[in-house]
Amino acid sequence: MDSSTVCVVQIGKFVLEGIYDASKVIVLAGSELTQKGYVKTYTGANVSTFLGDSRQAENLRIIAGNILTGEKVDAQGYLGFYHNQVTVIPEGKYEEFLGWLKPSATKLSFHKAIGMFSFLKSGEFKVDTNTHGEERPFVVTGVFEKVMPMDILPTYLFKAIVTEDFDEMEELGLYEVIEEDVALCEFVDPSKNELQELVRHGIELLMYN
Amino acid sequence: MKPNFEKGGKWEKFHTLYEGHRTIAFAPDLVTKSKGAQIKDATDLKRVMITVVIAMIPALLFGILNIGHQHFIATGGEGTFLDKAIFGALTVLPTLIVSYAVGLATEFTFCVIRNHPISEGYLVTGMLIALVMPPFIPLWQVALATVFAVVIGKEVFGGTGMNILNVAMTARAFLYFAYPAQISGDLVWTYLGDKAAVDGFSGATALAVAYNSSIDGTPVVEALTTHNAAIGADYSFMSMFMGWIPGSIGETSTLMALIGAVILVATGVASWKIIVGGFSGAYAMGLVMNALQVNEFMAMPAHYHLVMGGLAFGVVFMATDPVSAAQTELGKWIYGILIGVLTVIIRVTNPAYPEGIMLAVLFMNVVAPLIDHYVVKANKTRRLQRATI
Repeated sequence: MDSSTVCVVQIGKFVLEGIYDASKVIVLAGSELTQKGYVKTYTGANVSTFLGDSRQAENLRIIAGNILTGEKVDAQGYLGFYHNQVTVIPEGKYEEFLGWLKPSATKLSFHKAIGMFSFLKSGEFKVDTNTHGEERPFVVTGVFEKVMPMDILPTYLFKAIVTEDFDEMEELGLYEVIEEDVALCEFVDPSKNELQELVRHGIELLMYN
Repeated sequence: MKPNFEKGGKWEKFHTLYEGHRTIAFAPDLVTKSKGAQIKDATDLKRVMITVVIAMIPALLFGILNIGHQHFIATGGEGTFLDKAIFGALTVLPTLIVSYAVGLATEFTFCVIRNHPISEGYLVTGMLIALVMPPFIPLWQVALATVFAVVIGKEVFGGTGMNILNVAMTARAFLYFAYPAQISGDLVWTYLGDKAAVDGFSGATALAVAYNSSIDGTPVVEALTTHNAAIGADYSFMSMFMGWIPGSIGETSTLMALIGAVILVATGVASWKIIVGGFSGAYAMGLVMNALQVNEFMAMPAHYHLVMGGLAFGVVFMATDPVSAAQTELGKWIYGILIGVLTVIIRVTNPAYPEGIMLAVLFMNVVAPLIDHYVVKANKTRRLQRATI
């Protein structure tokens, strides 16, 4: 779920003029789409209309929304009210021999660990849905603070949500965030935690208690 | 083979072991879930840990060479580069192998019992434990210390990512207090093998020489340059910076530690704030000691503190362990500076603990959550002020 100006305009138009205008301009993006660009369509459109040649392709991840905050849909899925984009990328279900050791300049990475040379390359990267590692406890510190533009200490907030410590969650600023604010944290996390799901869990805990 | 390890298979209990070994050969084929970030960064914890191991390899290789070098100085023989390297390797490799084998066996046992995946933390700890041991430590002591450190230092708290104390330092502290004879004193830092030492040889480390000179009343720099000079030892500043002095396997060379520091900071794996804080804190405390000048050890020029006693190795590789260090950015400065300050205080004022860096790191590991508590509290207070106008 991510907020967007178009949604606000739609709600506003409905309230002020009494007209529900469901049309909006969405973006078609992703390495697996042959036809990319802007398309004028309706809220809740069927995703298969935009797939073009990729309709029959195997091993694709079709995302309603962008790659950081979107939601996976299948080839006959529909866009939600808040989705303004259709992204199609390859599904990354493969095992890579010594994937954690081989040097690579083509894999997108925020970190500059040994073998990660993506910071040298400018331009576009082809990304897929492989997690590149298993879920681990929090180990690396200082990374979240670099991608969090707000005055929040992310690691402490996440740990407070995991332990369901209500006072800590409030004091550390859970009221100031929703899932999309930690989307970048979830992308760069080397421990591969489900951080957006965690934040949603924390918000629901506070809402219903 | 895989179905045997899945639910209902013959060896279901060892599923985590199988997964742990398979993910060493192949990066797993897991994909992102349907909600949340649809792509993930290509760096995972294995790569971060391997970066640290690679950063320690210069220290390991130099340590192997240095053990051989010190052996030939002590026994009076002439050794070629190859002789020294082979001798050092034969001394160091058993310790390294025992450290990794025993530690990994302990971790595997816990993973099977607790049914959680094997974590990569031990790749780093295994090498660190070997590098802080003296050249010829009985292998059963290494094994015992490793088991103690992994079980009490890490697994009891929940495994990788949950430990309070630095695991390698816990191993060393265990040996230091439980079996002090093989890890302290003047005789253990040079491995004589089956030869006898030459006349006039004393295997004292640089810190021991400095401490003795403060008893005699000679200036430390003079004592260092004359110590063992007749048999070819060199305790000058440049030699100590390079690391040609007796000591634990990996900790003698400041230069190799700095190379490791460059690798760690350039890749963003370790925090430069802790490293810079550690060196500046030690230097500043050295200057304070110079001002006090109660004995000769205090009068030692402050920059000598940075190359003696494994300070560089401890600050670069032990203090920067992200789990046991302070976790807030401001906290890392305070933590680093206090480690440097405490190391110099412990060294100079307490004759029983020449290993100031070991105790300083362990002490600051315990204090780090307190430092973080106050930094987090400042964050909370700022938020409260924003909320209540």
